[in-house]
Amino acid sequence: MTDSQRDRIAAAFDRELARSPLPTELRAQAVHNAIHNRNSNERERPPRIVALVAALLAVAIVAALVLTARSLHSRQVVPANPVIPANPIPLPKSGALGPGTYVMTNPNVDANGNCVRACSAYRKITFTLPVGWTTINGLVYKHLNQSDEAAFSVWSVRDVYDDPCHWQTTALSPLDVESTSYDPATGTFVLRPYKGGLAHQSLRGPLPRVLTSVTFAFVDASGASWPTGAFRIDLSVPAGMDISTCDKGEFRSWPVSYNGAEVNNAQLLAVDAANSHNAPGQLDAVYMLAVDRWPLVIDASHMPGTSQADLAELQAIIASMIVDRG
Amino acid sequence: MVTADISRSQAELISAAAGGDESAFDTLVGPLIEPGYKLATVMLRDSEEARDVVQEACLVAWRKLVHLRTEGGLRPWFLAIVANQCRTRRRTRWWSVITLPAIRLQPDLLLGDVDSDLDLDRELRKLSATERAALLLFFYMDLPLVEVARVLRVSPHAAKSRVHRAVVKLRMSMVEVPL
Repeated sequence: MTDSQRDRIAAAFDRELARSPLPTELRAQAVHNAIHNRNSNERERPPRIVALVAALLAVAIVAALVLTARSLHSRQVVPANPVIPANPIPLPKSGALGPGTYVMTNPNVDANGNCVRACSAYRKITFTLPVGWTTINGLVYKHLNQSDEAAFSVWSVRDVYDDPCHWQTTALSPLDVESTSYDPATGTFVLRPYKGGLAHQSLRGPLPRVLTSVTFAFVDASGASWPTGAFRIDLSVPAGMDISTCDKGEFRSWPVSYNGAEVNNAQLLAVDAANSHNAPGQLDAVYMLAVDRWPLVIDASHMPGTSQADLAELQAIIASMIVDRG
Repeated sequence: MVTADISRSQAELISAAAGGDESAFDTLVGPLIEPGYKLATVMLRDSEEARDVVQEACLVAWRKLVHLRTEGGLRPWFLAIVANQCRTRRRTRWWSVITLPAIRLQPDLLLGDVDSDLDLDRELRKLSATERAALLLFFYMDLPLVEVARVLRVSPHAAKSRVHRAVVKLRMSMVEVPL
């Protein structure tokens, strides 16, 4: 690296950053807000008796959730008579979440519930959280980026990359659940033989990788509810993997979507960094639900260091989900 | 000893800032807002997101002030918080559908022919966020590798590898186009 090359790189950053000058008020605003936020929190601290009641309530909710959780490979438990609570809390864009029932609204449907872009056809998903969870932009998590992380997120997915490390050049194959047929005798979807999908994605754990049947609770606009078959697959990211050597330093399971179509153009993807598993050793339980349009995917991930209690909470949260088909 | 005085002064500022002294907090973190904003802009490729990240990083920094070990240096400590916030943003999945305005703002990304009209600016944009951060910290901000490593939360050896790898990628792609 010569001084000339060093200067050229610095100059390139100069040109790029010149398009985004520092907002003049940012320093004062950021400093003030940081201090002010602290003071607000102190003012809003609840009295001790309220805190005690809240803590007891939280413990009760956690205990209930843990008791209903099942082991990793057990059948999905769904609410017996799923009824969406009257006032679930809209999932905020970011921040700590108290215990309670939350609702994630499908961001890809309009007010009438119609898909406006690449979309899984559902209106919203409700779920119940115990104490201690946080969210940012739809990712709900505990201990983010730590060795004991637990998290889940929801996706609209049609295809998956065959190689999630070399995703810029690898082929795509339809998500496994696209290869199903309905068996009227049992009222369930059954998988047809298939060579692609997450079951055959490279770098995601030993083969053969099987899908297990699980059940999720669905409701419709009339309030009618029914259990619906879905599939679960357990995946991993190699523990010793240097993800920085992957395309753009990212490990991606599936493409992002844009305006009704998958975007699989390396240049367009340069502006996006979704679906990037940053953690070697990460374990994913991916649930595939065959709703209309694109399959709905729920990705529940954890790390080898995640505590059994947090894992049980994660599983109980997934089990508490009610999908509102509208 | 000057270093000791500076250190004590910083410790006093930290104590005052932790107690809610806005002026003390500004003295400590204020000068780092601009480099933090630049780092976030380069990692996220979005000035609005970068602005949010810097605000969040300030809040996190204030909350973690009491845990700050002054010998590590304030700059890498704060920039590491910024980088971590960026990583958190980049992990967001649910909302990460590319918006039309985001594409319109970057018309050169739509040209389609990756192999033509190569220039440094474009090649730099094609690097991963981590590689861009490594280059920015090392070449643009002139941080020593040990500080780059602290910001990226990797070993100095790994930081050096990342810088090297990014430079190699740039060299490979910056093909001279014959006239």
